[in-house]
Amino acid sequence: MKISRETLQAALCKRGPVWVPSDAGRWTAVQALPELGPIRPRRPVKDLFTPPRREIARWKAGAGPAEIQPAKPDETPGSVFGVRPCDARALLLLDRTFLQAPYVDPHYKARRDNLLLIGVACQPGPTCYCGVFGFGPDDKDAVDVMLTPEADGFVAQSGSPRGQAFLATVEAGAAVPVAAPRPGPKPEWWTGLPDPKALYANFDHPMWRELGTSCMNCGVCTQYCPTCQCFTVDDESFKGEIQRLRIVDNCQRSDFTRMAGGHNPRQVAASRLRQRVMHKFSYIPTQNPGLVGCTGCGRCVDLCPLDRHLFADVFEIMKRINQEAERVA
Amino acid sequence: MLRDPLLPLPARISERIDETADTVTFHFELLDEAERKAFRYLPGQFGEISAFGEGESTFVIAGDPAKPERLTVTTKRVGAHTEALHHLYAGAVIGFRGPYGKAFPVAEWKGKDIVIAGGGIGLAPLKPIICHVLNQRADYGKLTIVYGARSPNDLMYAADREIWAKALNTELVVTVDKGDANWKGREGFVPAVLRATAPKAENAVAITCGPPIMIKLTLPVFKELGFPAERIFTTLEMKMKCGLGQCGRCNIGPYYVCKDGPVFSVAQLQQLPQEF
Amino acid sequence: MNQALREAVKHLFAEGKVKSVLGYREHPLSKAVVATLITRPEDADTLIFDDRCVQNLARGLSRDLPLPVGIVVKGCDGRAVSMRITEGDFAREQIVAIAVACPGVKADGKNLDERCQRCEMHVSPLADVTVGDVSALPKPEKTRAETIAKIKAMTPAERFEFWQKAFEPCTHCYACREVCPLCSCTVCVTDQNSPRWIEQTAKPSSNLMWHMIRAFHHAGRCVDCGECQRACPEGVPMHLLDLCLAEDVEELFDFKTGIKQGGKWPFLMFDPQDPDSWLGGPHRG
Repeated sequence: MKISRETLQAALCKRGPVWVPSDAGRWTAVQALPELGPIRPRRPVKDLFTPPRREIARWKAGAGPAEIQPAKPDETPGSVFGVRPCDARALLLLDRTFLQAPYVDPHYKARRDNLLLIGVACQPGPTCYCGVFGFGPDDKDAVDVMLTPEADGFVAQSGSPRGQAFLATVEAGAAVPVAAPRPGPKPEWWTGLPDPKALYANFDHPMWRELGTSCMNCGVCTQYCPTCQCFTVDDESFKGEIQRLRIVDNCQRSDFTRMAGGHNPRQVAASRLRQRVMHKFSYIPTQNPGLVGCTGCGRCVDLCPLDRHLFADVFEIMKRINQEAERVA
Repeated sequence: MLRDPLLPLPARISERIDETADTVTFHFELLDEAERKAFRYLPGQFGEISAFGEGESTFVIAGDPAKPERLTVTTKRVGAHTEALHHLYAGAVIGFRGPYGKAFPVAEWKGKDIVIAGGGIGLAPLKPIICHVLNQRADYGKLTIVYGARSPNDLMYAADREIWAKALNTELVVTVDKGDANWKGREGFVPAVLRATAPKAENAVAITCGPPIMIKLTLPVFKELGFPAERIFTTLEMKMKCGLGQCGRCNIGPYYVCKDGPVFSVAQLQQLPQEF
Repeated sequence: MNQALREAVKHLFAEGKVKSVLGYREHPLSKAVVATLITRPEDADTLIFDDRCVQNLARGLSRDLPLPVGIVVKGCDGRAVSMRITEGDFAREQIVAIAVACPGVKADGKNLDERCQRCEMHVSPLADVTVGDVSALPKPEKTRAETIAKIKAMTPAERFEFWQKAFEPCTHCYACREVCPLCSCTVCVTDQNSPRWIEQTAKPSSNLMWHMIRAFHHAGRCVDCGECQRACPEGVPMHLLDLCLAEDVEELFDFKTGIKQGGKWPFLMFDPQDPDSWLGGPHRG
């Protein structure tokens, strides 16, 4: 159905805060829907669900146990406008961890339950590769509503029962035929995803070291990746109060696996890059058949300070493994 | 309302034992009566302990699982958080989350002989197994414990060892790498003493824990004695943070050490990438 | 240029002067210019040098590489290598500097980098081999003083507000640290937790602390390669702070970073007569 920008804006604002990407690419609550760029913003939408720094509890320094104040999950209803399919699909992966009994994260759940995801179809850029994972820039499977921008508004489709219920409350514009979803972009050199078992079998291959010499483990790829979800727990003090925090962490840090006694199984930089690639392309698919720990958003390619193309590297690894397997066969 | 699994439960330290110059055992109880009475754990499971203000650390629950209201951890001073813990005494309140992890399969071991080789603070995760076996004495065969430390001053759990030495169908062999003027006991590294003790592998399981170098040299001895990889167990030491299988820190291969371990058989360990 | 560079590198291998070479190549799939380490002379044919070679390869130097290591260096890069030798990270004979005549690079593919517009040293002062025509290199279009003039003109209160705002987007990813060739501490001050000097979550106090301490640890050591700013995914202008300090250090200590190897450098110089009234405290008379 067609829907004007004003109508949509009014309907969303009525629900509560509307989160949109700011000019700097960060998620901000606004009153007016902005013009969006063609592709995903710099910060992935996961920031609204697994924020970089989230309080678990706080207490006054030196206080007894009765003073522990757990942080309350934020159940404010609202919406997120401008979610791209790559970021939305990534949330499905995060759901597998944080909505999994018996350790459901109540803060994550509260946001997932209360924030309506309003997707906006994109104009894929040169570093996007969502097509590799079987979806495209119009994909509505992971959002509540998918909007396709038009001259005077949007064409809206529902992606979920919740989205359908929302659209039913909005002044219905004319029903319009919906174009077939476009296929997602794939790199021209790509021929297929690596086999998770083959990757695992080649854990000790010397090519990991070669890959590692030109990666400096700065962790920017991890920092901006929509599916990366590692975190740590730590305490910070400020003006007599102590906060226990859940802090988003980065497996590329040199001390990520360092134990208190000093032993660090991943001291060598190349081993940390290997861990990231293996986790995304081998371990996650092994534990979740049909899923990969990547949605092709291309941020790692855009932001790598050394201009590396991490997905191209993964592809080259796969090619090498396949070539060697063929030689043996 | 859902409880945040990262929220610590307050607990009060009831007793502190300075085992060695840098190792302290704390006994503590959960403050909330209902939680305290409902708490259960199995040998090998661990908790996240915090000295409030300094973050959390992972420690195995080194107590007697038959008396779960009293929790125990044995901590070595190695960094900022353990330093903070070692400033605490009976009466202090700490945070606790747990129990986490896969336990030693003690039910599957019924009817078997139990052979334990521990070194230094590695005795901590093994103590709950010993307590369990001695509590259910009729369910298990012979219990052999080979325990060693660098020096007599580094030996832990003196009071418990006195009990074990006199227990039914139990052989306790204590050794030190190097004795002192007063040491009248055995001298020798744990792997060598284990070999000399020569426990039977038939219908027996082996469990070992200790410094990495000790484990590395002890596993071949167990193999020599005839223990197959499926019947040798250990706890994998990998940095763990959340204990929930969520934070990613202990991910190795397709597993999380906090969820799929930390107890692993050697056969299972051989399937993992040999990163650790 | 590419041909001359490849010949020079092959020559170095043939003479046994290097066991490996750090240089630039074009990635076959992504077509981006990336760093590469070659250990065989035939791989020299993948090396390139043009205005896309933005990265400072000196950050890739490590004693784990097959030594002696050759390294393709622009003017700024060579000064960084020079400082690493001065500071004792490498012995002079472990490095073979392949100095290229660099007319400036274009990170955005169109315009000369800001730091290149100011560049006074297009060719590395540390040069075992020189490739390219060093006679026809451009003169600086502006000075460092001009770049930082607006900050120098601010009052202390204005400056504090300026820097607080500048550091606000920082996410503590530490890409600036990882990409900097002079950030070579075994354990960075911000990674230490006994005691914890700087907290690592993103908030105004720790953002300011991190960048301030980082700039001070670079005083007299920064070679103005600008990699930190280029690496920053949030566009934090931390390099401006490095420039301010560099200007002060050059003036106060009459020291230009990375021109010579050896000798003392300001970070190391300490004189008991140095004024310290600003330290304060009851023990100060």
